[in-house]
Amino acid sequence: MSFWKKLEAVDVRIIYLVLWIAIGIPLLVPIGLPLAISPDTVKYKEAIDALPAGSVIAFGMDVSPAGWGGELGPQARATATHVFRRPLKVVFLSFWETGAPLIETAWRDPFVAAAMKDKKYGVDYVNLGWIPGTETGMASFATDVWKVLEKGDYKGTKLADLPIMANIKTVNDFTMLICIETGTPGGPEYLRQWQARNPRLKVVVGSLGVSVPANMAYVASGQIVSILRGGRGAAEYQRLLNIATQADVQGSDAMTMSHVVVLLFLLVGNAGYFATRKKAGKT
Amino acid sequence: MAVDLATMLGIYVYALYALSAYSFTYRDNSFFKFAEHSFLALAIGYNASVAYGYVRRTAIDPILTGRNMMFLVPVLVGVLFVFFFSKKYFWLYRFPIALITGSGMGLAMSGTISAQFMQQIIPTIQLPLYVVHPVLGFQPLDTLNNWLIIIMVLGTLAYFFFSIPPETALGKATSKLGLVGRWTMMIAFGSAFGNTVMTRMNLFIGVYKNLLRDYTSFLGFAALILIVATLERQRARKAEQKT
Repeated sequence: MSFWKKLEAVDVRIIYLVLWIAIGIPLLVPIGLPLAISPDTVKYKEAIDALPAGSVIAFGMDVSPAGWGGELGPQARATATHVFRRPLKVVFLSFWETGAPLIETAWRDPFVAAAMKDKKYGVDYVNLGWIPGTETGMASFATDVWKVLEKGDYKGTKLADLPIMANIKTVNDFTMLICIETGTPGGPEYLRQWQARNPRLKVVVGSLGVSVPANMAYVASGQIVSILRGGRGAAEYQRLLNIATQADVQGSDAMTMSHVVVLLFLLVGNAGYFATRKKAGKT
Repeated sequence: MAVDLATMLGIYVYALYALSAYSFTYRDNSFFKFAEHSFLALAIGYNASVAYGYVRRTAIDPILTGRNMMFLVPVLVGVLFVFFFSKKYFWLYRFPIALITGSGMGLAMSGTISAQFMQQIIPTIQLPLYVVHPVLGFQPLDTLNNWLIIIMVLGTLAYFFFSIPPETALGKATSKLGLVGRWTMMIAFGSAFGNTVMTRMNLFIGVYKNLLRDYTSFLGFAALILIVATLERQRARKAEQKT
């Protein structure tokens, strides 16, 4: 059997093992590979920086635990740190039932906790919890926030007892929407139900890498101001905010290593394909 | 740093489940099946309990206390879902489905025309084909970008345009433009695939980082699962040889 044939027949478990090792090395021994900051991440940060003091923003934690660990969790924590560092009124909510508990998980991050130290619940920020009905729920919330939330906030506190909610009646009362999204409902649904009703609403999205190509059409058209691109976007944003820990740096090293390994596999696989095809053509 | 018992238990459960799920990359085994089934049960249980709590607070309580009897209508329509399990009255199940599909479609369509149709077409038409920055002057890369968007949009539209006979001159021109569209879509699919790979890797890195928080549980469970999976493999081979 030729070298290329052997390579084609390699046990897939060997590939998995190589990945475990290649990703494990930077997680154990920090390398500190360089990470260029993309214009999208800079624009994402600038959009939040440009908000006037006292602006009311919605923070949609539309996530599932599956996407939380490597991509959306770091995005959400960095974004929450940033918005709490600014004098803004932040309304946390989720149209995913799995997203609501993760709002408080993000608050427990040391950087977020430090940034929200002087903020008061119900005055500077609020957690409205899970709002059911997916896109229908979004539409209802957009037209009448108080009617949808008769049950109160995440813990059942009535909206009348939360000063931050006094002037929030419809989607027109928000200046910006930050959407950290796993899938549907997510960015496109917000555009259909919220931005279509309030064209002045600025939308920024933190997205799983897998959803980035679909969302880029909205970035190009200007409907979405900017986007955080998966785990890489999160790593860039952490560095921009100066909140990247040693573990975060190791994570981005591992990310780069994993991409290098996948690229190598792709190159070797294609080289093998063309080499064997050439040989088959000759015979 | 002292770690309390609950945290330790959490780390062990996490490590056991994460490694059980990833053990499928070695081969199917009892640990993987256990993780798969318990994950399903947990997810369904969680969703059911959250949904039950919401329906109780939003609809049942107002009905029982007489605050809002209008909720009786959606609750009764919702109850019709149970006829999914009846052969005789299955037709009743179609009413809530029709209601959900109809309202969902109507709601999505109203926003789609604005957000995903007009708001996409108008900026594309307005793209400048010669970009000049007021301070920096001519921008060649932005200009190229805009030209590419226009050509690729036209190409992709031409690929799906079937109303012109291909043997005519216009048909041949459309086919050639359609070829551009085909390449455009191939590039888009490649980009989507690359992003998918990146996401999967990042999710794996997130799990891996958590596993490395406690080496003993990581290595211990990994060894245990590997041994069990190997033993199961040997047993399956022996059974195959016997038959």
